Amino acid sequence: MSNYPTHRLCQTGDIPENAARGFDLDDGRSVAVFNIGGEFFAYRNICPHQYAAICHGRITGTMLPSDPGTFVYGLENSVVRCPWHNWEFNVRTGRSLFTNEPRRLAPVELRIEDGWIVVQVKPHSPTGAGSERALTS
Amino acid sequence: MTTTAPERDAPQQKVKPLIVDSDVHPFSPDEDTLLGYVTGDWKERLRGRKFSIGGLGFGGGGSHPGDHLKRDQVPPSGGPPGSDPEFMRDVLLDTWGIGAALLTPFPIQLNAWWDADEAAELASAYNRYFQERWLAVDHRYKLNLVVSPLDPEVAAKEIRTVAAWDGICGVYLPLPNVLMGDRFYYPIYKAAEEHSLPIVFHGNGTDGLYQGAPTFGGGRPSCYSDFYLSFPHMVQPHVVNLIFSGTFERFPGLKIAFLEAGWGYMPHLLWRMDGAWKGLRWERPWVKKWPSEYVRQHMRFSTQPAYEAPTVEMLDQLLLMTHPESMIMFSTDYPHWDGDDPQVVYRQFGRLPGDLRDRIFSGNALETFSRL
Repeated sequence: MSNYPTHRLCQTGDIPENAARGFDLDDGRSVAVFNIGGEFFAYRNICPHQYAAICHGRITGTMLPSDPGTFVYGLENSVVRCPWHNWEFNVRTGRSLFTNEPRRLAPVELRIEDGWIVVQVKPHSPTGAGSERALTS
Repeated sequence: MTTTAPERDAPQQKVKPLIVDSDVHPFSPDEDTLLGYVTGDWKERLRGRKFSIGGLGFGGGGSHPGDHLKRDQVPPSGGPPGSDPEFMRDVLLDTWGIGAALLTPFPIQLNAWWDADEAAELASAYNRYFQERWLAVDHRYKLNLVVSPLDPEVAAKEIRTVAAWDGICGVYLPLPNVLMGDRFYYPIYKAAEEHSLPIVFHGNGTDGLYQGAPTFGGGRPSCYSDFYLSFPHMVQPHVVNLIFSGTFERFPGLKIAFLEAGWGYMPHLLWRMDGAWKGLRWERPWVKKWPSEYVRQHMRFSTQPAYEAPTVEMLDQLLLMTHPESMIMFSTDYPHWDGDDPQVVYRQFGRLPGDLRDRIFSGNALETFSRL
């Protein structure tokens, strides 16, 4: 784990399975925590596209690449779809699906301590570096 | 009216020797000439009918307000400009050092025909005429064979027959009001792909004029200016539809050449499609690459009409956004009123690196029309 400031967010039972919750930190940042089948993943709570709060995205599966005129559904509960422009990310990796789009969800260190979800987040820089928007630039 | 080749200031020294002109329009001089290539009793059925040869005559309301063909290009033999293969050879091919002229017979309004069998017979007659009267005159003439879209299975049969001839380079497909990604066209695409023949898109004067005609974005044009300036609007839905229908996944060898509608509208469309695909990919999961990749691999756009950009720097920027190394093909659109002088176009692109100029003036067409 890094030396970044520690934030105790909530107990694991406070986030339903296959759902997400956003947490606003004291320094103005926000963290999205996803509970995917009992596994927890944390990201900065912004879509790298136009900065929507990714915690409001639909947790879903998606259509896998397929032949024309056919649909193959997969990755159930492994995809978060941004509430704004529908960009899809793999919840487990934060990366875009099926494209070489380089922008991805910014991961946040997460651990479980005594049933609590604890994250460590890089502190806000006085210069603005590391802020939510600078992250995406 | 002059009937001689216009004088030029030694253009051969200024234009690359190998030029492929991707959009040239030959005309059959009159209905009687074409009737000579109609077979059997169809000749009697079609005798006396008007085919709108030599003019945008369909409907009467969609005509150019003046001359839609260059008045100084009337051949000594008479008939409309573009109707004499020997004269065109002299004034276009020889004058400009054009190594291959891709003929898109025009105006063939077989999309606007009532009877599918008549339209198919006329398409065959056109192909026979252009083979015998044009391809035989000069090896630099290459023909986009024409089909009627009214019966795609019959059109596919025509493609398979005519593809065996020497000098065939593509398929001119006049369109009904059906976007090009529609399965309606699959038999045509299958036959074209089998024979390595690109499909040529080209407006033909019937657009927006009758029930079932290709439509313009927003509604019917009110005059020729509306019609003429709205051509790029017709292209863009086809580009999008071809990609998101998965047509190029079904026909990976298929190429589409969009002629006479320019190219400057493509950068924003490429960006918009790629942007939207990130969020809408799952609606059409068979779109497996960036939409712009499909365009670069499968679609080509001709240069005419040359843009009157405020500065050459602006034109360069626009061109570089349009992947000219693969997407752009030089064309004159001879003998249309708004056709471009090769020398002017060459000067416009003269600031580009030589290899890029070569791609525009010959390489992209040679690669796309692979039977050249």
